[in-house]
Amino acid sequence: MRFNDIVAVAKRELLVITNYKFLFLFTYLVSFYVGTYLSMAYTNLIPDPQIRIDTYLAFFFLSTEIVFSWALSTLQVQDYMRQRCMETILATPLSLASILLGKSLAIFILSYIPSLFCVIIVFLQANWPLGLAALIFPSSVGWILFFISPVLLFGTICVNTLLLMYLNHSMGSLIVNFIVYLLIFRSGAHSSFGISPAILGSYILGLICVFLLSYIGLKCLRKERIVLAL
Amino acid sequence: MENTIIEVKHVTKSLGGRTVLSDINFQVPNGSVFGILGPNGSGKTTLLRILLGLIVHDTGEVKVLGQNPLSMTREDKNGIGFVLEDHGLNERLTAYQNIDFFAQVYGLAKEKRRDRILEMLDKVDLSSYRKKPVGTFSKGMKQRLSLARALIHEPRILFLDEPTSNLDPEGTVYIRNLILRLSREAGITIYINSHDLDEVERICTRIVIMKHGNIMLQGAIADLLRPNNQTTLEVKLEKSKAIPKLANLLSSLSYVTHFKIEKDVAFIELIDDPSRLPLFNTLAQNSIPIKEITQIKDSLEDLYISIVKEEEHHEVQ
Repeated sequence: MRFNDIVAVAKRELLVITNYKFLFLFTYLVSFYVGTYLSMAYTNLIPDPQIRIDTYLAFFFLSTEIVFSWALSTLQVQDYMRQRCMETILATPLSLASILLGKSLAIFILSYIPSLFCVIIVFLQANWPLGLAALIFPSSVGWILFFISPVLLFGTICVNTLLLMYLNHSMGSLIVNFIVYLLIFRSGAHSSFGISPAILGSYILGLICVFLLSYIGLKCLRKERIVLAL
Repeated sequence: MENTIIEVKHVTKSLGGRTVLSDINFQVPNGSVFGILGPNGSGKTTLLRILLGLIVHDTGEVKVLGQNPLSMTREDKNGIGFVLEDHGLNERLTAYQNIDFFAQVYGLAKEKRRDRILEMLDKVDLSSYRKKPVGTFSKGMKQRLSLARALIHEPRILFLDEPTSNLDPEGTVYIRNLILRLSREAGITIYINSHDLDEVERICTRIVIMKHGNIMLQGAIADLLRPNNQTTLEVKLEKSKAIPKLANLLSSLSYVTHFKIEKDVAFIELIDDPSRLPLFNTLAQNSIPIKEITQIKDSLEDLYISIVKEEEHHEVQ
C-alpha cells in the first residue's frame, strides 16, 4: 500500500462524485434535513439550554456527516457498478487497502468539510456574544465534535465502502450505520448533562466497532469475491 | 530475456460446483501474438482473470513474466497491460482524466506523465478529444482509449479480451492494425481472447481452441491449418472420360498421399507444397485435359467448426 495510490484513488473519486452535481446537492440537502431533524428530536430532551445547544451541534454534525457519507458511498459504488470499471481497477497494481482508503478519504472530505462549515455557521450564530472564542475554546461536547467525530466518521465510511464492495448493494451499509448510530447516541440519550461517561463510552465503543469491522472486512475481502459479484 | 512469457501447467478451476477449467496447459512465447478461441462459456475469461491475478485457480501452476500472478510485486505488475471486455473507463470523466488516473497508479512521475498521456492519445488519434467526457465517445473511440490506457506504462505483455467485439468494420481494422503494429514495432507479447475467427487468423501466430473448459487444439496457426505441410489441389477436368486415366496416374505417384474424384473434379492431397510442379508436369505429359486447378486453403473457420462440431457429435452419441 502506497500513499500515492490512496491519493490517486481519492482524486479520481472526488472528480467522479462532484461530476454528479445535482445528485450531490440533493444528497446534501436531504442529509442536512435528516441531521437537523434527528438532532432536534434528541436535544429537546435536554433541559439546560447551553448543554442543549452544544449537544445539538454535536449531534447535528454527526447525523449530517453519517447520512451524507452513506449516501455518497452508495452513489460512488453504484457508479462503479454501472460504469463496470471495478474489474479493471482491481487488475492494476493497486491493493484492496489502497482502493478502500482512497475511496473512503474522498467521501470523508466531501462529508466532513461541508458538515463542519454548517456547524461553524450554526455555532457562531448560537454563541454570537462569545463568537470565535467559543469555537477556539470549545466545551467538552465540542471537543468530541472536532476530534473524535472525524475519526469515527472515517471508520464508518470504511465499513460502508467495504460492505458495498463486498455485498454489491447498499442495505448492508445502511444496517451498519444504523447500529453505529444507535451505539453512539442511544446510550447517551437520557443523559442531560453534556459529556457523561456513558456518551464517551459509547463513542469509544463505536470507534472500536467500526475499526474492527473495517479490519476484519479487509482481511476477509478477496478480489475474486468482488469480481464474481460484479 | 526468457523465451516463455506465460506458462500455464495443469490448471483447474471450479466455480459453484461446476468445472470451468480442466487441466489447462500451454505456453506463450515472448513476442508472439497468442489467441485463445472458444465459444461463450468455454472458460476464456476465467483463464484471463487467473492470469491477471483476479481469481485464484484450484490446482496447477500459473506464471506470467516468470511470477505467480497472485504474488506479483508492483514492478512485475507494471509489466502487464490489459483491456477487459468492459473497457474500464469512467464515462463521466474526460479521456485525459481517465488515463491520468492509471498513469498515477502505474507510478509514472508527474513531470513525465502529461507528455506520455498526450503521446498515447496521439497514437490512438484521440488527442483532439482529450477534454471530452468518455460518455460522448463511440465504441471504437472507447476501445482505442482503453488501448492507450493499457499501454501508458509501456508493458511487456498486453492482455486483450474481445478487442474488436461490437465494433464497426472501420474500427475493427483500426484496432487490428494497431495490435499488429504494437507486436512488430514495440515487440509486445499480445494475448487475445476472441471468438472472431477472422481476426485471430489475421493477427495471431499461435492459438489455443477451448471448449467447455478444455483445450481442444493448440499450436502455430500455420501448422494447424496445414498439418505435416500437406497441400490440397482441386483439379477440374474438361472431359469426364479422362477420369480412369487420371485415377491410375495418381495412384502411381509417390507424392500423392490421397485423392478423391467426384464427377469431373479431383481433390488431390500432396505430400508437400513443392510437389505441385512435378504433378503439373506429369498431368501435361499424359495429356490429361484440365480445365482449372486451384489450391484449397484450409481456413481457421473450417478447423474451428470441425473441432466444435466433432465434439458436439460425440456429445450427442
